[in-house]
Amino acid sequence: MEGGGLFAARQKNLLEFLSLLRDLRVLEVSGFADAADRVHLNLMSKAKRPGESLDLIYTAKQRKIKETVRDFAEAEISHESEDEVLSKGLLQKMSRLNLFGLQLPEEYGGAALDTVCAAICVEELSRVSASAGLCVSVHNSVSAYPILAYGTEDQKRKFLPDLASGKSIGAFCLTEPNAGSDPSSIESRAVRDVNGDFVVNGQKAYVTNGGIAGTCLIFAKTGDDSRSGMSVVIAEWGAKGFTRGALEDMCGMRGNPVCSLFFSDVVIPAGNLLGKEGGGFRVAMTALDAGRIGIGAQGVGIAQAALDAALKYSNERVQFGKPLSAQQTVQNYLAEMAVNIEAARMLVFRAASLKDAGKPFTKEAAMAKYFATKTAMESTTTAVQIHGAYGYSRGFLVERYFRDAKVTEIYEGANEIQRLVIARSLLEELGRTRL
Amino acid sequence: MKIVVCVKHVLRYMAYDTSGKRADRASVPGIINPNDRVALARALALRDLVSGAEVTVLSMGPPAARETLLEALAMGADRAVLLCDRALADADTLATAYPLSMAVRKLGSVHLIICGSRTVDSDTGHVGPQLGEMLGLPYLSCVTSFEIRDGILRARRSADGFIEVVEADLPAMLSISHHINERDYPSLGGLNRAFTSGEVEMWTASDIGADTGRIGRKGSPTRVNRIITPETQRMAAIVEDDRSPDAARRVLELLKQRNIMVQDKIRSRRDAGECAQ
Repeated sequence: MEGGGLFAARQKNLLEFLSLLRDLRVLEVSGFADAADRVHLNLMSKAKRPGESLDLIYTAKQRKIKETVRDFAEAEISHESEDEVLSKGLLQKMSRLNLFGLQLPEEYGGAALDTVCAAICVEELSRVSASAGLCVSVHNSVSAYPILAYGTEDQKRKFLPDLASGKSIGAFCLTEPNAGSDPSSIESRAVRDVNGDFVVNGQKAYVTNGGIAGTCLIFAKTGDDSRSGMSVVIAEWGAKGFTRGALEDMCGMRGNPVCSLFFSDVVIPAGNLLGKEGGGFRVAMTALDAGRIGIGAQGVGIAQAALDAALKYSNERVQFGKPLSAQQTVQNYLAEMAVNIEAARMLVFRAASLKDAGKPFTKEAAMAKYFATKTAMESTTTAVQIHGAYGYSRGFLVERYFRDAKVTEIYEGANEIQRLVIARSLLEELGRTRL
Repeated sequence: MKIVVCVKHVLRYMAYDTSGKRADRASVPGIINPNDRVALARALALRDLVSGAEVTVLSMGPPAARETLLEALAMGADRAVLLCDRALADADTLATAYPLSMAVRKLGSVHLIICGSRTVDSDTGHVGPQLGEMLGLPYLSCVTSFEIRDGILRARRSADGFIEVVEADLPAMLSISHHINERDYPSLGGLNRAFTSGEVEMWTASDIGADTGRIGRKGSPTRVNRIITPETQRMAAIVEDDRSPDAARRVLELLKQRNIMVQDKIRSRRDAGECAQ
């Protein structure tokens, strides 16, 4: 039962998958009965070859993980005010659940989950608190994961146990005041001193987890070339010359302490260079590919929260003598939201499955991030519309969901960049194909 | 020290199948009965204090209950045993306690048995005391906290609004009161391990040497003829004039009209409900 993942491992690559699809007909699609828990999509080939079906049902493990994180989020986080979700007490509870070591190996104190299970965790957290989901996604996907993927044995032993236990929260510091979608234009510099250590100067902007982060991946120029001149060093909070700006007054996800980080002649040991000198661009792209699965999962969680709220409210609110949910227009809204959410969830799981299978997943992660966050924005907008003036007031959660959703279309690669990535991948595949 | 925790696999939430009459067991996932979960957490805490102690979770249920026991392993239990056999199905509380008692005997030299005081689905609270009785053990119900010192079990139990402090020799059996409201989550790493490589031992009726006349439907003196969901209706009446002494009279009048008060006495809620219908 378990171990199969959401996609059978026998789907060797995308081309095989697509060629198989041509031979498929959908026998049964069900779900949405309780809007969240049931995913049942049964595809079988015309020939009904045994063992050739795509199994898209949660395994027992995945379902139990989903329920556990949902129960935790609802019991421990839902009552917190918007700004208090990452209090010290809550971070400790999250750490006991292993939320800060989702995919780290057990030897470092992690839960050793696969990417599908990690995505399930981020979705369920984000359904209750997008700020908490963001904290966990960024910490795991773009802070801990790059150290696991590119770190030396010494670096892993030094940083991963504290990251896994949540003793140190991770941050990914690429964005600068003058460098957003174009990371090659960063201005922070890391220069070797006489001992070979790095002296870092610069400013990082809108750093997620910035206010609580202890382990920060800093992208800085170590050479002049726009790409090969970029490196990553691991900065630890407490280093001399390393300071934080005031928390940013953001529109949504106000629970996450987003701020600027400043580096003034900060000496970072040579041993904290992550990957090769000049290899920063590659580390950034690898991290962001993984991070996009997490942000996609976050989008699904926010959208699901909006649907859950809209379903409940439309069933209770009576206008023209009947519940809103009895109006066909509102039913159309609900159906549209549900279909998009389920499709987004499948895209997230597909990208995650490819990553788990060790296959390329850049395009699929971009698809998942783009579609899921677009769905989050659309679903929360619709949910506010269904709630009417109530939905526009602070007293109703959909107002928060609506604010939270917007930034998901912006960060971890703006959705315009995601479409560039997807189109470039398609054109590249075309260029490699001999028809 | 060997501790056994009896847990029941119950539905996560109630939903009817398409017939509208039966619980939708096919779609609704199962969980550890919340009271039993607290019992397990207490047992694990005790185990961690006593060197060499081990916790075995024991359940009787359908194959789906295996997942519930895997979750118990994820929480930290050392061993899991599921009594799973068609012959054990359709059992009432007596025919549940009996195979559990046989399984405890098979486990051998158990020092402490803990269960939740009642289940969220059938809510009888029978199985604990029946099991204690069948094993001939001291049984402490509604325990809110306990400790073991020098081989003596000392427990606080909540009884009729009082707190009793009682002692018993080991081996003993206790049920944890539902007043204990604590949340304990399995860690994600624990779930990953348990659902990847955790082992649940499946025992049949013959494995425990059960008398076939005392198990399943045959061994169940109780017959469930019908299950109904009680329907409650709110019939609010608001008397707005709160200054006039007439208001009190009007309220009294309303209560009598609805047969809630007869000759100035309040009838039991049940009688009142029946009359109102």
